[in-house]
Amino acid sequence: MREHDETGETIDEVDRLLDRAVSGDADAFGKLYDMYVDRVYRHIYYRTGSVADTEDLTQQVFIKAWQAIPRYRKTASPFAAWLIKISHNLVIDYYRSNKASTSLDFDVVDSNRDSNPAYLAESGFARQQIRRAIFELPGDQQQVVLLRFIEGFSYPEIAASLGKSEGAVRVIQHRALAKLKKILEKEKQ
Amino acid sequence: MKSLEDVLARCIEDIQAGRASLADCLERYPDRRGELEPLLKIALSIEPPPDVRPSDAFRVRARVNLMEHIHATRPAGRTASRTGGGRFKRAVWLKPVTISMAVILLLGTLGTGTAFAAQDSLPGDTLYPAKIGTEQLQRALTFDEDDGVALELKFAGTRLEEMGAVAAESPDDAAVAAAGYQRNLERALSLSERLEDGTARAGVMETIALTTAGHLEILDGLEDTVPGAVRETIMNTRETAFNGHRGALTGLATEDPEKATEINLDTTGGRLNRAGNCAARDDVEGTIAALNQFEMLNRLGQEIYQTALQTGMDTTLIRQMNNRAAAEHLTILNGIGTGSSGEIRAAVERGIQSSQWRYGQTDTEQPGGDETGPGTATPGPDDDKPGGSQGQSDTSGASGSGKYGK
Repeated sequence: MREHDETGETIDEVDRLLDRAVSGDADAFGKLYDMYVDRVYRHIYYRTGSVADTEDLTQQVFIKAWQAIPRYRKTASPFAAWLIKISHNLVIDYYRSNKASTSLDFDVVDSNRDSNPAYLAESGFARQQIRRAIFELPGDQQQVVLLRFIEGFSYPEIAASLGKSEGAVRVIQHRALAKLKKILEKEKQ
Repeated sequence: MKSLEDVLARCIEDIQAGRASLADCLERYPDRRGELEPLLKIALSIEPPPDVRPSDAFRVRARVNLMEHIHATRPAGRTASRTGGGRFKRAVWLKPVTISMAVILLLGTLGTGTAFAAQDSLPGDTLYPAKIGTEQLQRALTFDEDDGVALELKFAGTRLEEMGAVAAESPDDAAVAAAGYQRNLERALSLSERLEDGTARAGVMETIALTTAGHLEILDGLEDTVPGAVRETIMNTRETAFNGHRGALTGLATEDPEKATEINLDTTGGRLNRAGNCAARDDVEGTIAALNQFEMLNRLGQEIYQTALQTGMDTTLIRQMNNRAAAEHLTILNGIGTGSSGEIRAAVERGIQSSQWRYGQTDTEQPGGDETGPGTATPGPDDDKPGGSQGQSDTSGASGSGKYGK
């Protein structure tokens, strides 16, 4: 087990802050915000490509997290995964209510005036292709790919986050990669 | 035979961990090569994105907004509110400053481009005076006292955002923001006192009390993260927020003592949490400062109770809230005092004594308590009379010596 999580804090320190935040300690929740805001922001920006949308949604994530934290229970899934799950749902809801299409229109996103040109350049064409394909995947498949390959969570952590068995997560991963293969082949034609 | 998904998962893990290459995996499972190779290539082409971070200004602004939202929306105290809380409770979830079209049209000297550009400026920036000028114009166009209070509280929140953004680099600029915060809060309080209607005045006082409670927590967070040179400015600003909070609660108490008690207990608990957090990291100065504020809030709570008695209202709910809170506070104080330095133990002792009056404030007899629980209280005809500094009832079982566990 890692002694430190990705924020550099010890797992014990995060657990202590979580215990206090669950009890309603706003100060502790503020410290959790400090530790995880960058992570949440990065994830949402990957999804939206828009600074304005990312800032708005990042704030909403922590509001939702505060509302839900009395029900938070420690599992094999790290706190970061819980926040990423909230982010995922908010991004889906946001685009559902703000776009004509329920799928993310990445031609619009990538040419959004808020998009960072350096970000796009560094991403590379192939990466952008993969990114677009990921967001064409259906719900669970998209989540597993994002949690595994973009956020770097392990299979047990993903399983705990999604409330599934590790075996189920591996099956979903397989199907997701097969689907990505089909999407990319279709783009080439 | 292992399923393809298990093989695929195992290969991805091994390749990412550097334990095997793509070629190694394909060699390991030659009969699955056809299926495995394309899927592995796709998996390996999914890379984490370039590192993107939010701006410092956004981080601070979002934190300020979050804390204000938490304090504006959470129930005050540990007990249910008597009212539905619908009376003039404005959400203080701040969006980025927007300027109405009326203001834009009147910004003849500034120009709309300058006005918009000034919105994100900070003390020390060239456009900062334009930002303050815009606020003055908004103020001039606001005619109702309650709208004026909301505006000044919004500006006060903006000053805290500015402090957070400049504190690390310029103590002088942080001081400019701090002075602005004080002016905004004073204006808010002054406007609230001009309201003639008691209900409206209670509403704005409640809003000021809730907002300043949130500001205390924001300033706690800033104090913990800023360099030493600006800490005094932060602490003085917190003192300003604290005094504003007490002033608002005093005003609220004359109209709605129950609501004032709820908010008082919530803020008191917040100061105790702060003391506990500071004690946990051996911050003696921070612990004592928070305990001193806890003590002052207890005294204020006693004044609120006395105000309630003077109105002749039924004080049952207030006494129940106080009694429950006292038990919780004593537990936390014991925890802070245990194993701490002499200075902290003295401050804990004062805190315990300042909350003595809350013990035994119920209508029903309580089982006799030891020093860690609520005291005994024998209700009687004298219970509603304001007591001395030692508490409401002579039969209170809470220890006056304030001993705590070692």
